[in-house]
Amino acid sequence: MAQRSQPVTLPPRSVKWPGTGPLVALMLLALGLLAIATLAWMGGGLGALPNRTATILESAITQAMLSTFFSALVAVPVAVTLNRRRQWRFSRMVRFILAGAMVIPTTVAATGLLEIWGRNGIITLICTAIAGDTACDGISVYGLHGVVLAHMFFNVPLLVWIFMPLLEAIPAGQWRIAEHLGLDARARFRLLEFPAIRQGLAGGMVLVFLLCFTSFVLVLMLGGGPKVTTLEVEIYAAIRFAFDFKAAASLSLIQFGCAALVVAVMAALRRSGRITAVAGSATLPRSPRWQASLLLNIWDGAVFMLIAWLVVLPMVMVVVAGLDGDMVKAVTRDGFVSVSLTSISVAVTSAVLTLIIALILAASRAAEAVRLTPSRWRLILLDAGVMLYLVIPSIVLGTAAFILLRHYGDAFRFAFGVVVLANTLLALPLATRLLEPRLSQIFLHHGRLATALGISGWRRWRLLTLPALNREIGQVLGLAAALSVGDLGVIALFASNDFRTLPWLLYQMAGSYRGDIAAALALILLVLTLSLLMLGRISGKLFGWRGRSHA
Amino acid sequence: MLEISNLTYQYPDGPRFYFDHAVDAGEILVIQGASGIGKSTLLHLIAGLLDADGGTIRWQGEDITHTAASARPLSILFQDHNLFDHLDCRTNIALGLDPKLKLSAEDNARIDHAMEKLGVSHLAGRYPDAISGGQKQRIALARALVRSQVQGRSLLLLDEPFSALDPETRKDSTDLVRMLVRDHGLTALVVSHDDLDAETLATRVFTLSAEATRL
Repeated sequence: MAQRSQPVTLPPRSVKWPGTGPLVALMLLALGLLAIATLAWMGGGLGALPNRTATILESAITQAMLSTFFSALVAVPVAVTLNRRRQWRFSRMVRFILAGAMVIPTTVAATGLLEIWGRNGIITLICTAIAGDTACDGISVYGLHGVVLAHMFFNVPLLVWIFMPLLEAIPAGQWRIAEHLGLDARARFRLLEFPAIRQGLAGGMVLVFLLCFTSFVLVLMLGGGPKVTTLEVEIYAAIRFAFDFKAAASLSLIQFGCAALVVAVMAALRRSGRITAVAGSATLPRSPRWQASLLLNIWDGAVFMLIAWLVVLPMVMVVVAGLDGDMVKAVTRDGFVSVSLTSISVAVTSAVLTLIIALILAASRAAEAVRLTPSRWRLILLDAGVMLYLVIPSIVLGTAAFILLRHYGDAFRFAFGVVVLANTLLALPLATRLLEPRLSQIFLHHGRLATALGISGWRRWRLLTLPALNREIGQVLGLAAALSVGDLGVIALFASNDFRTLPWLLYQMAGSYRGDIAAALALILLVLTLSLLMLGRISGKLFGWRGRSHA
Repeated sequence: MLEISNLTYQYPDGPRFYFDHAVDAGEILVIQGASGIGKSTLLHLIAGLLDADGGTIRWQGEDITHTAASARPLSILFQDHNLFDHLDCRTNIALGLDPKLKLSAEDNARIDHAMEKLGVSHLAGRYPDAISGGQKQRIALARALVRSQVQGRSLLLLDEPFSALDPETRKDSTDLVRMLVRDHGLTALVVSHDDLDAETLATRVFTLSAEATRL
């Protein structure tokens, strides 16, 4: 009788990576719970919740849902268009800009948005020129719409980044059949592109929701008052201004519970953890093999304009403001060189640490997901470990570390280690998401053969896995370093005269009304962030095995 | 009759091919030859999945060299990825009639008939990842059949479609192709490495050689 085709999965014991990942995930979770417990202990137990808790939750959930919905609404057509126009001359540049937007510091992005939408932004200037002062009084970026817009700046690129590998994994044979059957753009979207995107849509939207739900700097800068807030902002206020550790611990637990609930729902909604759809050649024909209609050309043009308006323009405005700022004063300030070197060393160290932990967690998750009978609990545990930084506010981690480390002398002595650890946790969700699909592919394609040939353990990593993963490793290093170099989280607690980073310097300058220097520093930070990102990508291409284009 | 005259194709950074052949209507031509000799390239050129640099392709006297792939009077089957995994088998066949899936009662009857003819009626609601390799090829052949009936696409191109099948399924499939060609007046070009395919399927065997095809 006919040969039976099997779903592309591995038998339960083909990939042996049983315990390390869950152990690391457990340790990360324990770290987070320890941080909350420390705050509660410091405050003498959990305190009563603020009266506004329900309002805070409602506000956080509303803005997170709106941000997620609109980000996905824009990201889907952007990803489809970028994939369709892969041959376009500037396509790679657009993709790099989108990747850069994901990692540029929030303070820098907010600066760019204010240059467009702020009281003296270009929209107001244009409006005033056309309609006069009074007609343009109502234009303001502050409030719910400003927060949603800022979140879209970061999350549209993030979702595009999640969707693109899924679109690229559509087998070339399916594109050929689509062309052969004469599927038009709408039919291709319905039958090929959206089903591919759908694999990452729920997970991506949950990630975006969590990022927006726990948003801090953007809500603080653009929220426009207490009406638009998040738990993270309230926790910050409780620690920083009210010294109310009890309330901070309680709010942290609520945030932890909400995020854990979302992660659990995501895991429950997932039909199966099995990966079955990533197999196959991932190449499009060399040039687009369909006739693009006028309507499709107009649509794609509009999508590129939307990217330009939403993502590129704010970055351009940072450059314009930076060049207009006082660059000479910024770079000749006392300590600028040492601050820059500190930032880079923090970035490099946390990038390496991120890579190691992300490899362990992603490999565990991929190995579990490609099994015929994946353990749902193990997947939930690994998800929870990865999402830690989204679940536990950085201010809570930092404060807890500060409290605990005081017992060992001057807490500031540990600043480097604490900041590196916090930045590592910040980059983990993205890093694991970047590594996991490729690891799943590698396990699917080489798993049985490697087992049959008796290649296992470190040898398998050295011979098969790492060489096939070089591009993603470079990307993770670049991404983690870029995220780390611009973070203004724990450093806010641990900064001292001996230990400062560029984002902290920028924050200080902006806070002391040195806008000219702050603008120049924002530009430097933008350039440094994008350079680290690019360096990672280039290193991924230069080193390691080059002979893979297909899994 | 399919006439391929002075057809050339240059791969970017790759070899340049030249083809000049004729195939009579109703023939089953099995094309053989070493790997890289241009067998699949020839089929992809005929199907319009590659654009020829020069020469002409004529079917029943009509020049189809520059006709869009979807408008050419043919159906093509590859070794794999002939079906969309997230669509059930019936929908995969229906796509051959109308990519928008707006089907008339007559279209539905044709699909039912094709499925019955190929012995896959019971697979209508199943998904490709839940059926065997041979069953997948039958579904793809059913799609080719409805296309030939409704749209007059009577040229069938098979690019090593049986190479992943076990001998028994392979024989079933070649029998089916023979039956389809005979009963529905099709013309088939089959790329195959297997001598058994040539023996059991071909009305004519053609072996491509490097001297003839590489420029």
